[in-house]
Amino acid sequence: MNFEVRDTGIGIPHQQQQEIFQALVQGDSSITRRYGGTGLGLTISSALVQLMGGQIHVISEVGKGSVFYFELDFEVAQLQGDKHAVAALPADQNEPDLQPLIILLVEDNPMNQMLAVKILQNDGHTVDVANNGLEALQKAEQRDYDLVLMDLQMPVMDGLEARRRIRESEQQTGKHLPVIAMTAHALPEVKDSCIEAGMDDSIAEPVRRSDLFAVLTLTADRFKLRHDA
Amino acid sequence: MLGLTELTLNTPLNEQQRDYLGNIQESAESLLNLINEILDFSRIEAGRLELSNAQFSLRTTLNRTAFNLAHQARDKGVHFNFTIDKQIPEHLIGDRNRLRQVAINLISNAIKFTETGDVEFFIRLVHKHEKPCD
Repeated sequence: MNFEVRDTGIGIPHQQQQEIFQALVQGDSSITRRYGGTGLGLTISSALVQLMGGQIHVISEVGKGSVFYFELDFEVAQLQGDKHAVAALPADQNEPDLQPLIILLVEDNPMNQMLAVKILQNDGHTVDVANNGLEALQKAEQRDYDLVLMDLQMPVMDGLEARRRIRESEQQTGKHLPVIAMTAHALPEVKDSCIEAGMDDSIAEPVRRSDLFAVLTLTADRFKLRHDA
Repeated sequence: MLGLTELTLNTPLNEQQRDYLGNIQESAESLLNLINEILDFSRIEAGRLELSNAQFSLRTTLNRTAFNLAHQARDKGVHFNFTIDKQIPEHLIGDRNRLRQVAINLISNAIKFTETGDVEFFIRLVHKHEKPCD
């Protein structure tokens, strides 16, 4: 697969095109002052692409723009069980209308709880809060939620266990309540294990409005969630 | 810190307060970014960065990324376009978070260094490796 990012920006002088992959190097020091950044981003990306078996290349002309590209091989996954078809959202569109949703927030940390509740309420959603997995199960029985935002690490019953029980009870009803895991920002490894563990998606904590909006929009679209408020 | 700043920015504020808070938000974001980059860089230097190998959808992963970056571009008045080859299989095996990280880095660089015009992100299928079924 070929990945390519093309811009019509300031470009990179020829003699600097190899150096930019080295740590802490940006075009020149005035670039750092004008544009900020640590100078580590591209080094990290380049190392990551190498770990994945590719190499980032650059073609650029000062004043015209730059093209960064790399090729990677991927193994195609053999489909297992019922994977939900995912509708693609066009990336470049105005904010689509996200219908108000009824959301169950499962979170034990009061600070994170308050933050998520405020963001969701500001966007017009209805939010119920459960302090742990056990409370979440009880609430989920009492009300028909559109989706669940679930912290993973909680006392009494953690998020993965709660998710497992929700899925168990769904075996009888045939419903599917989307569960989105909330994970600590610094641990990207955790995210993949969430998806493997039957979560529908994941989002980093503390939550940001833009991330939350994106994940809710995509989830609503994917599971055709529509709620008449 | 970031979340609370974001919330406060959505409350009635005078221009000066909004301006100060905006600066706090930007600084907090660059600090968080700096910490994450330093952590990654030390892992790479120490040879301790490991990739995960899980099933993921390239389309879903990068749609979300593109969705957020399109906002960034629009705020700057730059047009951002994301094209992914229809032939690319839905489910692949790999490290979606690290791939997303690379995409975010390259695209946000492109947006950062572009004042007018376009930033485009293409993914094309080059070779189709047919794995023998097991």
